[in-house]
Amino acid sequence: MPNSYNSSPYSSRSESVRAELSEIDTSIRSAAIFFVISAIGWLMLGTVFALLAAVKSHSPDFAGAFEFLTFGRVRSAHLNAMALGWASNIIFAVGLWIMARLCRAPIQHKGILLIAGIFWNIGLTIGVFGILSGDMTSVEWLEIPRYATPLLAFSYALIGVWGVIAFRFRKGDHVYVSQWYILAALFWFPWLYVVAQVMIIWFPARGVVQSVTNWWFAHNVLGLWFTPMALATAYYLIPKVLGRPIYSYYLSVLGFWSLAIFYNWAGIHHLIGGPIPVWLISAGIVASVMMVIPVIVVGINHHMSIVGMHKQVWRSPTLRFVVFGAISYTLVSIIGSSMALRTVNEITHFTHFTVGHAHHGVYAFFTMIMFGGVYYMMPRLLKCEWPSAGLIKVHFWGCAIGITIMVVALQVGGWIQGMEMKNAEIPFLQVVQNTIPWLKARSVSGLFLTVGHCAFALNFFWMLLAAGTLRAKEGPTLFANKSKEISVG
Amino acid sequence: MNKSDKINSSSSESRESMEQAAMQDEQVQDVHAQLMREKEEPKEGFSPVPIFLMFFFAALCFWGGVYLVEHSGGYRWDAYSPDFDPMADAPKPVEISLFDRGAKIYRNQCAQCHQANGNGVAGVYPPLVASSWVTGHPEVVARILINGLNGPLIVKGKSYNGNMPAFGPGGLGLKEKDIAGVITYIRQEWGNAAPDMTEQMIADYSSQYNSRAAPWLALELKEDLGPIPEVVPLEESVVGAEETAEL
Repeated sequence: MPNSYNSSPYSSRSESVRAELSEIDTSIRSAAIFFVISAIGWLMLGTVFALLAAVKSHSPDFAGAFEFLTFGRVRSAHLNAMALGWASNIIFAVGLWIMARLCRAPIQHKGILLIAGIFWNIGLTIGVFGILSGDMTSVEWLEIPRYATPLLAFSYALIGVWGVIAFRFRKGDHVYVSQWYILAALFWFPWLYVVAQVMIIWFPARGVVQSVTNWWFAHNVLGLWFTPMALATAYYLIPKVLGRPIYSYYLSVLGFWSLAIFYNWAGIHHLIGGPIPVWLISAGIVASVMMVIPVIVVGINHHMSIVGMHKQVWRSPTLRFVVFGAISYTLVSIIGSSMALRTVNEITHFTHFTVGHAHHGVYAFFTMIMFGGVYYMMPRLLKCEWPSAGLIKVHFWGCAIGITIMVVALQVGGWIQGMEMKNAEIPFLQVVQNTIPWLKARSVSGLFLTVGHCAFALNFFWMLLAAGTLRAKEGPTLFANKSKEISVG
Repeated sequence: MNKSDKINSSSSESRESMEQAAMQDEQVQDVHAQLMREKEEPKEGFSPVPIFLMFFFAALCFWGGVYLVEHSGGYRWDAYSPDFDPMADAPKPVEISLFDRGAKIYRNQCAQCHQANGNGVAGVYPPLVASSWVTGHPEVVARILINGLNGPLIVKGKSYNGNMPAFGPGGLGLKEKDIAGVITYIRQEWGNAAPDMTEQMIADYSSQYNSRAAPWLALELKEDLGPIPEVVPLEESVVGAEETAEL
């Protein structure tokens, strides 16, 4: 065994803590593996919907003969499969695992967690079928028909509560930054979801209050559910893999509270120019710009924690994904803040620029970090190693290249589209036709992403089904030759 | 220290759980290797926040406040345009008349010498009441105010030899509006009834005389006078027209 653990500076200490971690891993194992399997299932399904929608947007006749595959349904099915299927399942897996580990509190009734997870996915399956069969609501981000949503809300409560319980029975004095984010997000998401469901679907509020609630919800799903979970994962994995503390507690505090204060207001910038009292929109714009504060703070905190260790970052599958995501967080947020300004929004609103921005955030930032989280978590849960570094490489490059093409194509194309729409000389149909090359580029990017996802799924199920044959003592699966340096997971 | 020793040294509780998992020896070693490979649970350092960030964030907050004030539409539910000005409908602040403005200036700048009742001090400061210098050709009084007046002067049969300071930009620097106001005031108060000195008139006279450095002498004052500008009569100031013509 080349990388003898005896040489590790940590191997002599805290063995009981490590044994405790192993117990925690065991306690959440079945549920977490179930969530990851579901997440990957939804990811693959969502990818199919995404490809269909992408191709249909430049070739509308493609698969045009099937009513359930019309663009409107496929697009919404894609959104919900990804947001509630892939993203939320992977949050349940990685987020709860990190929470349990940091609280040093094993999950007590893992059976309930597992059953709640099964119901969540049943609810979502009913919902996506509902969308495809034409029962979807007309509200973006809340398309799932009302016969499925109560089940989702109920099973969420049974899932999220385990994070809260772990926190309640935590050991140790210090509460780490990842725990703040996860605990807060576990409360934020049900608050958003229930308020939005009640005010829009069940007891509709009057008039524009509905659209205000709608965009408050839709943007906050990104900002108060995906973002804090991804940040918590990055905050956990960067010091964990590098064996180095996070740069500054004070920056962590500032970053957390400025996110908590400002993000909640930001969604209203989607309604710039709409018939909403203008102070509400202006407040949304100011809050969107204020989001620069948490973004810069988190960016500096992560950067300073990594600086000087780029080689280790590049070698570790986990950190390669996490750092890609963390850099994307800075970029996408700065772009997002500027998009909220009225002068910029006049151009980007109602164009593909916004679509590119959404994927920049949910994919290049959130999803990439969560991939990193899975790469770190699974060997601990299965007590074996990833079978193929080559497949991880294909996964990384497929996703990195794919999402870069998509974001660049949609944002450049969207900007041109926005400028042309402001120009009364150009007929509208001409503007639409000019977007086609960019939309084709998006379909190409989708192929790259599909390759990446297939490599990921293949590697994952290989590992799952062959668990036990790949020995952990042979060392972690890394990208480069691992013989010389101290290993990083 | 070999691997199995390490396992024995960990707490009995955790050993129990590993046994529950019914692992083989070799598997236990595997898991152990994986666990021990892992770095410590994360911690945080305590580096201070860079000070330039705090300035930058303060500037952002300031911008946010200004933006909200500029584009809040007065926080009204029925204001939809970002450029809505909540003050647009509000009554304009009342523009005080030239006469009232002049009264204020007079109290502060003139009354020390010419007295509040405009009678001056006999032999020292000439009176303004019923003085043809004041109520006569407007250019005369404008010249005095803008550039000042020096040397002997006869007012209502009494002679004075004083030194009236300049109030134009070369002297005490009153605004044109204020000069117009104070002249209007002294031409209409205390029974004087000459027409207004409008701002426009003072603007014209200023452009002629601002560059003049020396104060006027009484002899020069009535030379080269321009025609009297027609004043749109405000209020009852028409009454003074006859007297003006007399001069």
